[in-house]
Amino acid sequence: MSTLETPDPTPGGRWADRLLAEGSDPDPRFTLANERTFLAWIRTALAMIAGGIGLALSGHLLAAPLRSGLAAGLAATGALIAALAFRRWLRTERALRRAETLPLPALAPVMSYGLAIGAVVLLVALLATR
Amino acid sequence: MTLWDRGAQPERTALAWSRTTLALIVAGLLCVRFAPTTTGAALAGIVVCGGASLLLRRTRRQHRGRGRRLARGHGVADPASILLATGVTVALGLLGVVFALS
Repeated sequence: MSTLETPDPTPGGRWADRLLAEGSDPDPRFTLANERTFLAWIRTALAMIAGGIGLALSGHLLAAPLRSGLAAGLAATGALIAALAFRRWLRTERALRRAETLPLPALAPVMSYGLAIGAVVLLVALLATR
Repeated sequence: MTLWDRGAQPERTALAWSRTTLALIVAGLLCVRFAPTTTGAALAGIVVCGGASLLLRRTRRQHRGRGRRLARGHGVADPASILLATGVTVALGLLGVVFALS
């Protein structure tokens, strides 16, 4: 590397220094794959938030308290998933930098159970109020 | 001839950012539509437009900057954009909760 060459400032800038100080840069393909996985989770969270709002707008499909409760629950789960997605991204990136085993996926079970419970509650509510 | 972008990872990542930004805008517009008060709608609109435009801007800078960093063998992590995306999504979720309960 020529001595005249100055490295580009990190796209992440100070945050990369603050959050990813340990270890060394991993294979960039893994970093990018990690980032795309994070973005996929964010899109999932956004879909849940939109689902919650759609439910709240669904008129008299359900009794009002149940409807707002479920809508709030979906939106809150969406926010939770977004926060957990960041945690997953950070832990994975750090593990990549330190060449450790990648952390276990905890996010997928959380979302699956949350979604399943929400779907069952919705189904029971729809059947009970027919 | 060596292919510098084998697997087109930077390009795919940039596309993933575009898709995410689009999903963010759609969810945010729903929040604006659904807001029970005008201030709520304004807040949701600001969150969405601010977040979306910042993400779009970052995506462009990222894609070019990443190409250079890849060619020079530096790391390509971008925690700032990740943090921003998380913040905007969490804010939108919380807004959705407030709207649903009011």
